[in-house]
Amino acid sequence: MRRWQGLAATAAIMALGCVALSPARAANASPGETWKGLVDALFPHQTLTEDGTIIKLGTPLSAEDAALVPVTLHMNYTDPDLPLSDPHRVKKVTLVIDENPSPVAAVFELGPKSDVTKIETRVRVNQNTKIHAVAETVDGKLYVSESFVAAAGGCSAPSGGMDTAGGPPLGTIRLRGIKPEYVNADARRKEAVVMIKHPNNTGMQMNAATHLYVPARYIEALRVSQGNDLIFAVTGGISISEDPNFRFDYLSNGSAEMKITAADTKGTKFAKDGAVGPAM
Amino acid sequence: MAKHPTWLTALTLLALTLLGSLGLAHGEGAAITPLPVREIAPGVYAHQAPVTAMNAASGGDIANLGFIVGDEAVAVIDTGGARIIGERLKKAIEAVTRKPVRYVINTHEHPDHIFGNAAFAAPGVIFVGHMNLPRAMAERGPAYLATWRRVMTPALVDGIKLVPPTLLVSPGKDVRLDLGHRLIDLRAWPPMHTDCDVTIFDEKTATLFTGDLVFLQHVPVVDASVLGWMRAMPALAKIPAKRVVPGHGTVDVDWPQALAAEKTYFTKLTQDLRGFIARGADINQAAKEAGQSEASKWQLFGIYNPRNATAGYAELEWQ
Ligand SMILES: [Zn+2]
Repeated sequence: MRRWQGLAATAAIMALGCVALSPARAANASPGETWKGLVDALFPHQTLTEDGTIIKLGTPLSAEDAALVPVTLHMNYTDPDLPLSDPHRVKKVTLVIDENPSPVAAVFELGPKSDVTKIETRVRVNQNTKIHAVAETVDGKLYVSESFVAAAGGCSAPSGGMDTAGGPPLGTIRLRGIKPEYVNADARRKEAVVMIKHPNNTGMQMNAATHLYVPARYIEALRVSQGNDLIFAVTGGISISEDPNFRFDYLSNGSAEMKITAADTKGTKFAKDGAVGPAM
Repeated sequence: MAKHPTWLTALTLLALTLLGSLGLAHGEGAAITPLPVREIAPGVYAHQAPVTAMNAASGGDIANLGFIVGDEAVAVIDTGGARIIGERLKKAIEAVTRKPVRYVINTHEHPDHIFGNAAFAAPGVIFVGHMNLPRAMAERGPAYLATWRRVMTPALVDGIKLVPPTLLVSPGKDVRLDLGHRLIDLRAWPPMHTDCDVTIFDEKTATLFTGDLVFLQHVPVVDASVLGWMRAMPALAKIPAKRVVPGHGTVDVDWPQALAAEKTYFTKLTQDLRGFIARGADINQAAKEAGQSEASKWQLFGIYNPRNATAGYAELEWQ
């Protein structure tokens, strides 16, 4: 399914009683100045074109939970049958949350043979911000898609708020195949979720006992492959939510196994090989 | 002085008008209206706030508050979402007793419960809360304040100060406070509504202040763990209370019947979420559709249910 509209804006502006992290959509959007500076730093001397058929970013207008904002990237989504060698095919996407302390949330590298047209992940949003997805196509051109999200405090929200008693240990990787009826008719196109149990500490959270800031420790590299073919790889930062979660589609090359490797900033490595089937 | 009565009167009137136009924000000089409270049991008072969203119109008064009067001292339970609400609660206490406030207990970290704290900060007043509350206030307080500035008037935000507790309560180790021939029992909970929830039980009258572990009319808000909340509910229900004051909604209700509505909501929400996850629906669809069959039973449902569904999906995905 192609869900790029994101969530409808549910949060009425005054919806802030019990939980202040449910934000309101600000009356005035954030200034574009931040983005200009980021473009100069990240993509100097390059032209960014807006073209929704090449890259389309889906976000909720307002973060239901600032520590867990679903973000969906759609690549070449109007042309799933685009030849794999087509110059307009996206090979890399940079996800930028302009007003976050560390704006580059993630860089996705797409495998040349896996034809990924959708990646959904979850990010932390610290304050009202524009979010940008910048796609680089095979011919080296850059395309951009922009959205605005209202939120507050996502980077300092405590991790481990979820009930973890008896839960899986840090580094546990799960692979969840999505049943075919939730994917389109093309039998070779599959959809799956890769999730890693990891606090992805931002460095802005405190230890309950000591009140000292917990050092930043997050997943910085993740690779997902089918057989020898890369599906996608991520270079991540602190803006990816606790328990990093990636839902994506891909064109199956027939491999029975999916291979996942990850590493965090402390140097710990995690890996899992798993069946790709639609099993839970 | 007597020589210029008219001039003085005019000046006084002007001063009063000015103070009035400041909206009582600073709580000094202007007449502060006591917050309406009701004695729901001997020596136990509760303020029932309207079930509504936080904005300039509701003026920081959206969470239920209360106080308990012993032979020697008073314990305050939550202080409201603005300094002026704390000031008005103080007036309400002064109208009832001359005994001093010794304890200010915060049931959890949310700003509608703690932003009136500064009104009570004084020598001899001890702030009390969950062992996780100081951390939560430090981490999230600034974001809460920024949000308050966006949705409230400056006058309602100006006097707010984050006053963290110094007397801490840990899970598994109840703290009993003596107000003078009156013991109140404070219990810290594992992650439920937040990760710093505390309940207060007045032994004399069997009255339980639940903070936001009980929601009535106002849809429950899950800021820590829906599964943790459901798991701890039987222990909560076992507290031998005759009546409870929930964090939001009707005060002075029967116990444990007061838990029934939110239990049904959580059951329905988590059933839906498990179903969505099993079928392969994504988090965006879950946010829109999970729990919707409960919509007509609750206020503010459209605002908080999507949040509960989003966080609940992520939590249940790991089950
Ligand atoms: Zn609350």
